[in-house]
Amino acid sequence: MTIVEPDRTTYTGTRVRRTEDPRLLAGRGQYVDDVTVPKMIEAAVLRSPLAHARITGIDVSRARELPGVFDVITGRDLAAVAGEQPVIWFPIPDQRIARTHALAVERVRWVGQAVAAVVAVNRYVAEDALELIEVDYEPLPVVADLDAALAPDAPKLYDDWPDNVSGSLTYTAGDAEAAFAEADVVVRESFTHGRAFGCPLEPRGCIVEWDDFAGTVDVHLSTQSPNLARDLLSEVLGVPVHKIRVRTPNLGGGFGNKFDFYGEEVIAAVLSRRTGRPVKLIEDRLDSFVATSHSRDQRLDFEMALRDDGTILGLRGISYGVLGGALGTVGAGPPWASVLTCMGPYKIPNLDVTVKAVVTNRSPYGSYRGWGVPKANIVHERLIEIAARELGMDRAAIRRKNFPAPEEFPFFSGVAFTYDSGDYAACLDLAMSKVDELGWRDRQAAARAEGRSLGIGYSFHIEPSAYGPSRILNLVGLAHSGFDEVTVRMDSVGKVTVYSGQINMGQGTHTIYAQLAADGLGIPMEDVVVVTGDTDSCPYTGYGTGGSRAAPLGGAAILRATERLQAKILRVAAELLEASPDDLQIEKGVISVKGTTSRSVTTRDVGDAAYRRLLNKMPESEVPTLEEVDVFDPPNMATSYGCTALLVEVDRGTGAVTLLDCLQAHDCGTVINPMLVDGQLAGGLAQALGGALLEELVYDEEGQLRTASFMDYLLPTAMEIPPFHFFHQETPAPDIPGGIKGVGEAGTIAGVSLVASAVDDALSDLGVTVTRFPITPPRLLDLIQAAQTPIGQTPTGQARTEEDAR
Amino acid sequence: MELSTADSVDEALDELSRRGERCRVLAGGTDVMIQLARREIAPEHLLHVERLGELRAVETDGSTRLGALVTHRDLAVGRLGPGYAAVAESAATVGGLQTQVVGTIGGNVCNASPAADTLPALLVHDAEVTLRSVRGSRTVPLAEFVVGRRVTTRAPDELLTTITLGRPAPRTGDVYLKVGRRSAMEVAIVGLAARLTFDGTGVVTDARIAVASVGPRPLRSVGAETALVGGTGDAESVHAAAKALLQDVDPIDDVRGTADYRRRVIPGLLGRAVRVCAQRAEG
Repeated sequence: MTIVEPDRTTYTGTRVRRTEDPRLLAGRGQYVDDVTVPKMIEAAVLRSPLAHARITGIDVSRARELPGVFDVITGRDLAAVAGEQPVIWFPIPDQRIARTHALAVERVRWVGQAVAAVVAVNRYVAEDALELIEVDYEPLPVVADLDAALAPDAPKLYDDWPDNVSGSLTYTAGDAEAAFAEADVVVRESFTHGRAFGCPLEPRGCIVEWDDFAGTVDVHLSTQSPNLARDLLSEVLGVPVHKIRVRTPNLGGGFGNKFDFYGEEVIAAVLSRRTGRPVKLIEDRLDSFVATSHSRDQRLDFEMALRDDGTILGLRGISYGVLGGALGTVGAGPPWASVLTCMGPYKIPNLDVTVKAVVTNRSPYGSYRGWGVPKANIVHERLIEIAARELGMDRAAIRRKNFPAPEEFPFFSGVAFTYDSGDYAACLDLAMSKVDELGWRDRQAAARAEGRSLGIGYSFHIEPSAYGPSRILNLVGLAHSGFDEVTVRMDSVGKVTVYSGQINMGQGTHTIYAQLAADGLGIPMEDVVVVTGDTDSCPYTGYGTGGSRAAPLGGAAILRATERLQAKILRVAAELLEASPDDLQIEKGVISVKGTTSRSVTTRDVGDAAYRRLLNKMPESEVPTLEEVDVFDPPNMATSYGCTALLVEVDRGTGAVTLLDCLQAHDCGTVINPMLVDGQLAGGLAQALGGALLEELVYDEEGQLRTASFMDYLLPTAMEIPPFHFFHQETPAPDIPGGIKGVGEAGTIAGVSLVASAVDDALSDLGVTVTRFPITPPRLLDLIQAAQTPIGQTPTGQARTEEDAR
Repeated sequence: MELSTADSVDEALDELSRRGERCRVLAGGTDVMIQLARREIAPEHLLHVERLGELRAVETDGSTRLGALVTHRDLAVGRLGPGYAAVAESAATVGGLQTQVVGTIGGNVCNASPAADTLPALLVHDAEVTLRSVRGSRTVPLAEFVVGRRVTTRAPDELLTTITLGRPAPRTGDVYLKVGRRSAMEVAIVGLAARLTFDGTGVVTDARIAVASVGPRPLRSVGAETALVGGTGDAESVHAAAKALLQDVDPIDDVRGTADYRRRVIPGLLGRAVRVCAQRAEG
């Protein structure tokens, strides 16, 4: 292990309050819709009301005539000056990539696909003008869901494709066929996760100012990946990267949705170029439901082979990605990642696992916190519990039996990832011991005695984080890098600015970066400011803020940069103190000779010597200024993990699930700030619990989205979310300086299968197995009544009363 | 679209008389503003009545009368006093706090949503609504006022001013139960209100059962009520009541739940409601 530890850690590992919060809580944050640029005009987008249709005519003449309208564009206008929307993930060789322009040209393939755009003096006029645009559609047969897409005679979304399959890829390890042949037990299930999305409370938005004389494109964008957005804008618009500036104001949540690159950025750019005005284009809530990336939509048909002692021999299956009518920025990435991680924390020597990406007339699929891993977690955690039931084994024992031992790390999973370090059994034991301490089993027994149905669920998850080694990412199909760059600069008065390409969207990045920089330099945290969100002043980050990268990669780069910068500070101080740098120490910004208290200088003196009054102070051999740049491209990723437990109550009369208590034992390597780690875990879990029980983007057979408002797309509220208890162990990441592993997605990965596990346990007398998510009351009541009904009878319930049901 | 604000009931009635169907009454705005945003309605005129203080009163001497502008929050915190638990419970489940503090009972009644939470609770308390116009005033039972999905017998020039509830007899318990996915801020999959009066020996002497989200409008089930009277809330009478109730409802499949699901949860919900009423009648 090569772990660079700061000499002294004053801040790292402590519950420092977030420095970002006071101004945001006081309403002083600035989100993209708060930004006004001189001469700015506002755009709105006309969207397709049909899921699949040919556009036979668009008449924008009446819209153009409306007073206050500056310009109206259609797909043809846009396609004349802008390229197709980019896709950056190509994990499946020979995959058919369904591309589209930011405005549909001849055909629409999902409800909400952008068809035309208006820019006017303000949004009100722009929206009024949308109503004056007449579009003639010739409806085409709709491919509403996975089964419809795969049907032998299915209508095709793309006429030049043989079917609706974008691509398919199989990974194998060992000999799965032999493993299944020799297995004592095989368990199999088909799991379905409905559509959902990150649903950031601040919808997306941008302001684009295209200066045709300077040739520059100046963008304010609600994005998690400003460097990627700049590169992709360059590709689509044909403007060189150095003439594009992307600034990111405060983000009101991103959750991966704002990682992706959207057509609205391109629409606004084209409108700005045509009008010579800065153009603001803000997504309203209705837009957001159809135009922000959807995710999660997958079917996973998997089977697991085991020996009767619980040893897993093999895993095979297919992950179907139910993609939309065009590929989003990340293509088939998430369903592919489900296959990469479907073995989870277990040693499974024989694998035969396939991803199949299928297009449907739904909104494009994209990034959402956790990416493919929450669905992989459903596969391994559901199957291992079903196997435990089949074998009559304890759920914890069967998990423990299949973990790699601590000495087996780095552990190759069999497909793509090499898990860096861990003590999985210790984490499981920690969670189990806390379940005991909290008295859940007693509560369960007491409730059962009263006729109530309480259940305890478990989920063990892995979270591949710190994406990732650039060349390996390229190798597996990413047209982008994974390194992270930071600049750490001490100024002429000895204060420090950290510049990063990462984006702060609620995780507390600015706080932890200041903690790490302060510890790395030996200065007070108050002396550090962190600057992000401007491609002109901030360095380059590969990928963007996603893949649980900001803490491990940005953190490592800060530790490496500050280590070198501290050495230079000490060399300058040595000149001032007439001492050897090796004899100096720095603490709270004061530099003195170790073991003495007599003479000292401060970073202020060093800053002055490095920038202003160099004579006799700055060593002749040193370059003026105090600045270090570090680029960290990790040699391997870092795999966090955790064991989560949940106590639920199921109402057998209605199928409603109430969440009573939740705990998670977690290991993300070095913990920079336990409070913020807990916040990440809690927020992610809340999001997953919403996904497990409430949130679903429901499409009907016409491809219409039936849940496009908060009345029907139910986010979890504080009323539903149980108390959380978090317990940490720290197994440092061996490949990441500082030992930090990412934690941004942990909760979302763990929380969905977790609810199923708890519900099954609450209904263990019935033998219910939850396989479909979200677990809505009607779906669960179906399972309960099917389990209660003798085979051969159908539950009618016409005159059943609760008493009857007992 | 024009907006005007009425400073007195008479002024509002004048305005309604002049504009009739072209005018939409706006109180808390929790339904009207959403319908406007979704372009479901496009009135020429909005008549803002929220400042009519006289419609905010709650009178509990003799009969219980509440002004149309009493908010859900007023009801949720129990301004009607004991005996109206169902009304408080139903109002407490309408939207979030922000909705409750502005949304009014009169608005909820006139909106006549099939899923209106407060309507079953008002129905089990024999609610009557009073409507005024420049032509005069009339009082009709709520059950006759709401006649269909989002349809009432309100004439275009009428303003709902008062809702009158019956006085609960001694040894009466009432409750509102809601089946949904989320604990709050959700449209009910099924809403059920009950009010039962018992004699000294625990026999039901009077019953009211009303449901929402299981048909075009919230409704009372006289059949279920009849089946409960004379019983003790025992399994047999609940069973019979459930049977009768299921005959009265006509649920549909929607994105929240299927008709079949709605029918399946009703018996259990009714049994639970009867038990709670019995407990509350004792206390």
